[in-house]
Amino acid sequence: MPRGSADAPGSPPHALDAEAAAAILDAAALLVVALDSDARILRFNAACEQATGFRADELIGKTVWGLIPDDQRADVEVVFRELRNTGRSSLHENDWNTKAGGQRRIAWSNVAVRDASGAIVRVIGTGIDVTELRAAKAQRSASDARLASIVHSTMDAIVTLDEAQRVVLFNPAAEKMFGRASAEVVGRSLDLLIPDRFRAAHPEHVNRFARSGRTSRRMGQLGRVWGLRANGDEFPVEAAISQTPSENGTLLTVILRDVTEHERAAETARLLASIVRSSQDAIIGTDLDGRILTWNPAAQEIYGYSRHEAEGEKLARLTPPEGLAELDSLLEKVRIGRSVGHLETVGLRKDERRFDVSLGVSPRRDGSGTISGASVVARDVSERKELEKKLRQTEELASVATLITGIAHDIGTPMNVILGYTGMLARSLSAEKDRERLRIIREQVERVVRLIQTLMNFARPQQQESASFVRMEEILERSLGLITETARHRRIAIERDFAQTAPIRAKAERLERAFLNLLVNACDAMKEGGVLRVATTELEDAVEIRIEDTGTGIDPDALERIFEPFYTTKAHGRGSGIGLLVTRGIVLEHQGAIDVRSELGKGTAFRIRLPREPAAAAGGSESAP
Amino acid sequence: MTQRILIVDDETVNGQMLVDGLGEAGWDASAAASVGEAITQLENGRYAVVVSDIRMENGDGFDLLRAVRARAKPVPVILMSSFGNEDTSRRALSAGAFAYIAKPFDLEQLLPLLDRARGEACRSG
Repeated sequence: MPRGSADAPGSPPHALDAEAAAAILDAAALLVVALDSDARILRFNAACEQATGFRADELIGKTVWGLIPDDQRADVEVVFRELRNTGRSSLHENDWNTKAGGQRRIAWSNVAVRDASGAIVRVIGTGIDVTELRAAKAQRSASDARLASIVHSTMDAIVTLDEAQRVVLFNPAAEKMFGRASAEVVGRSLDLLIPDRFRAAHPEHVNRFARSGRTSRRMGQLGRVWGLRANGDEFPVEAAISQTPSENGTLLTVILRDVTEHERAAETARLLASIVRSSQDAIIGTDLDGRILTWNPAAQEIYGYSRHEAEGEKLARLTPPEGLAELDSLLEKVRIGRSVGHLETVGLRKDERRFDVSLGVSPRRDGSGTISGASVVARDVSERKELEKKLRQTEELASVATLITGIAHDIGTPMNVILGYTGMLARSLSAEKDRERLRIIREQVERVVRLIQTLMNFARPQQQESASFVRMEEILERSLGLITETARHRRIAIERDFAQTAPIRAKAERLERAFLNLLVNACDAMKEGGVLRVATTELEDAVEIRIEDTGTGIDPDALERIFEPFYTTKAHGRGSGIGLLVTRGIVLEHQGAIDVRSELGKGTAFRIRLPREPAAAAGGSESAP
Repeated sequence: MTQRILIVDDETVNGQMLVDGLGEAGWDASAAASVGEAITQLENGRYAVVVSDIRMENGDGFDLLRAVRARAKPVPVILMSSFGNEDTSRRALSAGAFAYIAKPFDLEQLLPLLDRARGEACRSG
């Protein structure tokens, strides 16, 4: 009975009745306060005491104004005077001060009590403490406001539908996403927002959800959903849905996120990941200190470390000691945002083998543009370097060949004249001594001629001999046959360590010449006797030939130069300085490789590798055995 | 039957040596220092054999070979060059040379070729 019993104006006063009513209200735990016409407190019940903390005897006889907060007193006075003057009952809500210094919110229902003469003598207020109620309400409205603000400002589109799937709420993000104003959409069917081909199935989906009794489905649980913009574009969305009962039936709220960009980014990320995975180049991500964060399969291939072994290690692990300073300066450049491309340097494999590597290093930035690390792309260029080296050698040889051809042409005629006239002289001279001297001249000329002829043979690498399938052991035997006499004479033991290698396509006579040069050199290095060891080995895709002696050896400086044209360690007039050049030329013709190790006083070992399948046929017409 | 032989070489010292040597061997040899000179001499006299260098300053031995072979009565031509190889030899023979010989050579190597060439010249003309 918060409104109390309305006393119609002019009705007779029922003071006692009012007192009785107050007692009842008192018992009902309502606040009851009775004031005289001067607003002095006549009655202050237990509920009042409880709400304020004041005892009745502290307040009885004092005006009520002491209980009213100052800022509300004027309002309350108006209410009080109105009631006292007119007797019209009223409802009013105001605060009361508590003894503890706080305030309580009380909702009052006020009535006037008249005496027998009809004059208003008292005012009785019956109140309910609504402090908690109001606080809760205030909280609720704040929370409602917050929600509204979220709905308004969120990046996600929020669309609320009624049971008939008509739009009842369409937030600004939805407006932006679908390209339609809220006013245009609200009240219309959801169909407006869905591509044609999904229209039939879509409401059924939504209904099924509504019937399922679930209250929500998270983003992504609905699977791929498509939206339709006002301009007809379709776009992929992720949707979350929830249902809430309301006075107007169940409302479905759909939260939509446009994942076009996200999908594009994800697609790009997938693409990049697959590129990184399948790249032939090592692609390594590091932090700014060079600590490895990512490691692709090519990195494993090139450096030999598994991902597990590499991640967490520093780039210094992949760099030989002499390259560390360079690495530091690279990382320093990255830290200041600079890139370095195609730096050719040396890498270090897990097995400690060094290899030629081309490095590209660039700074990696995080979402905010801050440099967060380095991306390193490393390419194993040792094969290319090797090819370049071979090409350079071939070019050198070609230019030497051109030179030799020119020289030979100029030498041929004078030699011819010398041979011709000495021949004539030999026939006309009668003194034995003169004829002997002439014989020596002709012998020396012939030596020069042989030398030039050798040079010419070298200068014409693609001479007429054609490649055929031959066994290296047979060719070595032919070469060995030519030095057997010399070897026996010098007490050189010949050891053969021949594997039965399969025939390879090669020019037999050229190789015989190449091997012979090495065998002659070996014999020359063993003036006091020794062991000449000739060995063959079958490799996976090549045949290896080794010619080793126990002779004087070659000092390291000379060793670096022995393949140079006209370089010789032999006594003046003894070596032409082209034997090894010719040998190397022939090996290169076969796309093979030759190297040498030597130790002074111990001996020298040449190793030749001839590929089983030269990249291009070694020239000439084919002739199978 | 003439035993005249024409030596063509822009290196006159070589030409002179051959003239000397072949003279001792019984040939009537003369020398020309260029293709042009050789053609003039061929027009003015009868020769049994021509021996010509291939690489010369003005025109090479192949030019001379073509000119000689274009004549009504071709003379056998022996081509020579410094340190030639099988390739040069094949080129010379396929161009119609009677023989090819690489410098430096001994006169003893040239003489049998000349005898054979003379025999050839007799048969054909």
